Amino acid sequence: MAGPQPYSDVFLRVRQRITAAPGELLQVRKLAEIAADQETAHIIGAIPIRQVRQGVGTTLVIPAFDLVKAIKQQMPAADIRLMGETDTIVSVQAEETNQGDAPWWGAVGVAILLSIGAFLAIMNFQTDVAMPEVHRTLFYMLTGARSDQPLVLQIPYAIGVGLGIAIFFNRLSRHHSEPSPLEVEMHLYDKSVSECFIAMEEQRAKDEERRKDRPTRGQHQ
Amino acid sequence: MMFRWISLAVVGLAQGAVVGTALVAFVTILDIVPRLAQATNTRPLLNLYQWSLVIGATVGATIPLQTMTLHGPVVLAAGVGLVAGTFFGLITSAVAEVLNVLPILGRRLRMTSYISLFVWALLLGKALGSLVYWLVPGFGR
Repeated sequence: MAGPQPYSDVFLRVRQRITAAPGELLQVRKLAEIAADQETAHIIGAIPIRQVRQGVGTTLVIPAFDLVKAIKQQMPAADIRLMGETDTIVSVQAEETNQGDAPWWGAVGVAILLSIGAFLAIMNFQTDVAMPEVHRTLFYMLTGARSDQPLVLQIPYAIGVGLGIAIFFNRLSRHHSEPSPLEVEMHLYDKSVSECFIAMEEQRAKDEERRKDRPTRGQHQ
Repeated sequence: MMFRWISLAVVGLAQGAVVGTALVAFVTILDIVPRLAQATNTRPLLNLYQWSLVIGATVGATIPLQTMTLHGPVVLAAGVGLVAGTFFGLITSAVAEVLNVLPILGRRLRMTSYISLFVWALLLGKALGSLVYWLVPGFGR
């Protein structure tokens, strides 16, 4: 068979987040997964969409519609179906391999910060809610004895605080069949950041268009 | 005299209703009950948990009256302490997570793989902080 079929189905599953090096030429293949007959997929995959002109540390948004336009230009007969995301977020990074985590001593520093903060926060909380007074009353309600410092109640309480945190963060069960609330939050947070990027980019594009529509404005003033 | 009693009762009831709804709203927004139901795999018992909250809060509200006592063994106090502490541990973790402390920290500092360490840091810090608060004179007195 010579060349791709004149009319072919093309399915594009647009990726949500990719990384690219500065100056890299982004092709369709990098922005989306392609499902089509082999030859068509090969040609479409090589279609250039945009050159990364931004520097390291910046982010750009490529609307999936740009892919459709570029493909239609080269293969007008292609029947393109978009799936997945409506935009791809490209993070510009110096090296794709250079996105590991921060060093361990940084993490130890954060851990110390958090534990000292938690240490003081719980003390402040207990004073704030007048917990000693409540414990004294509760101890009397339960045992009928009066105690100024009912440690029998208070030490298990302190252990319970740790236990509650462990339960909340799924630290007790070894088999994590469901994601912990932290993992859910992490995912939601990443998603919100992506959505925000896309919204900001759309706003910026809109503003630019408006400026282009009225190029002489301001020169007369 | 009668009028004074009735108006006092109305004021008390109104105050209690507002405080009660606020407490339930607080516990609800923190997703404590769904979290526990998920952890123990007992989703169908949500109704029971609801009533537990209602009864617990109502009984707790009578603590200032402090006229009655169970005359139970001291071990009972230890058990109640452990359970109460667990509840506060859940609350404090949930408050921190509503504010997205750990996800933002992990992302900003590129330390997502250390988050488990951070959970332990928070856990030990809070448990030790509470222990010191009770054991060292000057804090809890």
